Amino acid sequence: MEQLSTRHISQQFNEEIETLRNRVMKMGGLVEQQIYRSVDALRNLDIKLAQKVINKDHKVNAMEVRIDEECAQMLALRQPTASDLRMVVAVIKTITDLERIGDEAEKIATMAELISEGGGKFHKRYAGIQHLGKQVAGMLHDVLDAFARLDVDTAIEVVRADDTADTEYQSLMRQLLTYMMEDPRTISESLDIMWAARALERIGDHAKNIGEYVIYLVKGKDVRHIDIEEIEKDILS
Amino acid sequence: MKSQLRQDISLLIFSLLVLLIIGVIIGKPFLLVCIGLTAYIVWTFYNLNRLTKWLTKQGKHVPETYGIWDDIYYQLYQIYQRQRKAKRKLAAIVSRFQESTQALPYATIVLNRQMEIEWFNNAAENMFDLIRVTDIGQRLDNLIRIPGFINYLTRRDFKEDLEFDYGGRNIRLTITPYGNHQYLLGAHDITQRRKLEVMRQDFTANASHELRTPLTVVAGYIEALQENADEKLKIPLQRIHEQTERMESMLNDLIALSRLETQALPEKEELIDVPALMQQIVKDMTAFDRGQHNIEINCQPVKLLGSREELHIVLVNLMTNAIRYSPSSGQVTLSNTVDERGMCIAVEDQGMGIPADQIPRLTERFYRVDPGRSRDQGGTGLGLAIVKHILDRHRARLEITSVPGKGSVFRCCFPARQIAEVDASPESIN
Repeated sequence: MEQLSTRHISQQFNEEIETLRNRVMKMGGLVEQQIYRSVDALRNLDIKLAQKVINKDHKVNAMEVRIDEECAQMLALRQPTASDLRMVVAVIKTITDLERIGDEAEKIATMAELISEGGGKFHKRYAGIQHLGKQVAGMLHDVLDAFARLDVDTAIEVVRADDTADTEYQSLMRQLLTYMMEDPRTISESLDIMWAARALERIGDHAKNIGEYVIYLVKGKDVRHIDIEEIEKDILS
Repeated sequence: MKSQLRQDISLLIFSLLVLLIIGVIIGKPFLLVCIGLTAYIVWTFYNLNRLTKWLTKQGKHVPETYGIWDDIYYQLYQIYQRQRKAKRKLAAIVSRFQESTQALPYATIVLNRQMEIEWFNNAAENMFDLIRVTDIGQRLDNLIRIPGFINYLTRRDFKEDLEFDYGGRNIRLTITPYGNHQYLLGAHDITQRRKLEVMRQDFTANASHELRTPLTVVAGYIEALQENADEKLKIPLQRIHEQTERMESMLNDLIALSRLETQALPEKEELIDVPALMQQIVKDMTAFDRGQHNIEINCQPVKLLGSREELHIVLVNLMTNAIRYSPSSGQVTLSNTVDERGMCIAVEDQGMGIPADQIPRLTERFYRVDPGRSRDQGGTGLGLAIVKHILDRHRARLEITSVPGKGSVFRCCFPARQIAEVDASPESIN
C-alpha cells in the first residue's frame, strides 16, 4: 500500500516536471516568433508588425515570472534531487535567457520603428542583418529542440555555432563602418542598424547559454566559461 | 476431464487400500497410509512446481506427466498456442496498417490525451523535422512551438482547420479526435496553393484596374459624341453608353471583391447601430424605387461589431435584388431578429423565387438563375458574391430560403460574439 502511494506521488511529480518543461517550450515558441517578427519588421520597415512585437513583450515577461514562481514552489514542496533538481535549475536559468532574448527582439522592433520613421533610405544594407537574424533564430530553434529532446549533440552544435554568429556580427560591423566613413549621411541610420545587429548577436549568446544549460541538465556538468574543445572532450569521453 | 479426475481419485483410493491391507498384515496400517498420502502430496507439489516453472518460461516442450496433470498441461498449451496465433495475426494487421499509413502523402501524427506523440509517418518526419526513435512520447507542442499552434492544441476545439507557417511553408492542419482521447493529426503543405490564390487575386485586381482606364476614355468620348450626334446615331450611341456604364460598374464590383479578398478586417471594428442603418437603407431604397414597391421595415434595437460601410453594401445589394426581382407593388420587408444565438437581418420579397437546386450556386461570381431575364434587369452578377465575402469577414452566414412563385428570404445571421449589446427593452420600431 505504501509503495503504491509513493508511486502515485512520483507520477504526479513527473507530470509537474513535464508541464514545467512544456511551459518553457511554449515561452520559447513565443520568443522565437518575436525574433522572426522583429527581423521581418526590420526588413520590410513594417511599423505595425514592430508595434505588435513591442506590445507582446510583456507576455514573455509574464511567462517568465509565472514559470519562476512555479519553480520556486516545486523546490519548496518537492525538494527534487538529481536530474529533477537539475531540470528545475536549468529551467530557472533558461527562462532568464529567454526573457532577455525577448527584450532584444523588442529592441530590434524599436530600431525598425526608428529607422522607418527616419525614412529608411539605405535599405539595401539590411541583407547582412537578415542573414544574421536567420542564423540566430535558427540557433534558438535548435537549442529549444535540444532542450525538448534532451539532446546533447545538438546543444554542443549550438554552442559552437555562436562563434560563427559572432564572426558574422563583426563583419557586419566593419561593413557598416565603411558605409559610415564613405557617406556621413548614413551615420544615424547605420547606428540604428548596428544596435539591431548587436541585439541579434546577444540573442546568439543567450542561445549558447541555453545550450550550456542543456548540457548541464543531461550530463550534470557545468560547462560555462570553458572552451568548446574541452567541453567536447569532457562530454564525449 | 471429469473421467480423468475420477480415474485419478480411484487410483489414489486403490493404492491407499493396498497400503492399508499391507499395513494390517505387517501391523502398522496408520503409518503406511500416512506414508502413501505424504508421497501423493510430494508428487502434487512436484507437479505444481513444474507447472509454475513451465508457465514462467513459456517453453515450447510440454513436460511429460500423466493423470490430471497431463490434461492441465494439454489445455494450457492449447490456450497458449491459440494466443500466439492471434498475436501474430494482430501484429501482421498492425504492421500492414502502419505500412499503409506510412505511405500516406499527408503528414500524419497520432497523439494521446497529453498530446504526446505516439506514432508518425515519413511525411510528418520531413515536414516537422521529427526524429523517429527519440520523439515518440515527446509532447508535440514541445517541438512545434508556434504560439498559434499551441493555442489551437490547448483549446481542444478542432472543428476548424488551422493554417500556420512553419519553416517558411504554409501548412494546413486537421485534428480528428478518436477512440479513447486520441487524436489523429493530418497536415499538408499548401504553400503552392496559397501562392496560386495570391496570383489569382493579384490578376483580378490588376486586370480590373487596367481595363478601367481605357474604358473611362471610351466613355468620355462617347459622351462627347452623344452631345452633337445625328439622329441616326443617337440610338446606337445610347446603347454603347449604357453598356460602357455597365462594364464600369462590373469592374468596380470586381475591384471591390478583390479588395475584400486581400484585406483582413480592419483591426478595430466599429459599433454599428443596426436599426439606424436599416432605416437609412430603407429611406435610400424607397427613393431608388420611386414608389413601385411596398417597402417595410421592422427592426429590433441592437448594436453590432463590424464595418459599417461593408454592412451597408450588403444590405443595399440584398435590397436591390429584392426590388429588382419583385413584380411592381410587391412587398419587400427588411427586418431583424435577436436571440441568444445572435442576430439575423432578413430581406424578404414576394418575387418569383429561386429553384432549390440553384440556391447553393447563387453566390458564385456571374452566376445567373435565368441568364436571359436577369441581364435585362441590369446588375453585375457580382452582388451576392460580394455579400458572401463581407459576411464571411464578419463570421456571419448567408441563409437563403425560397419558394418558387411565392418569394425568397435572404437572411444574414451574425453570431452572438459579434453583437456588442442588446438593449434591455427590445421594442420594435416601425
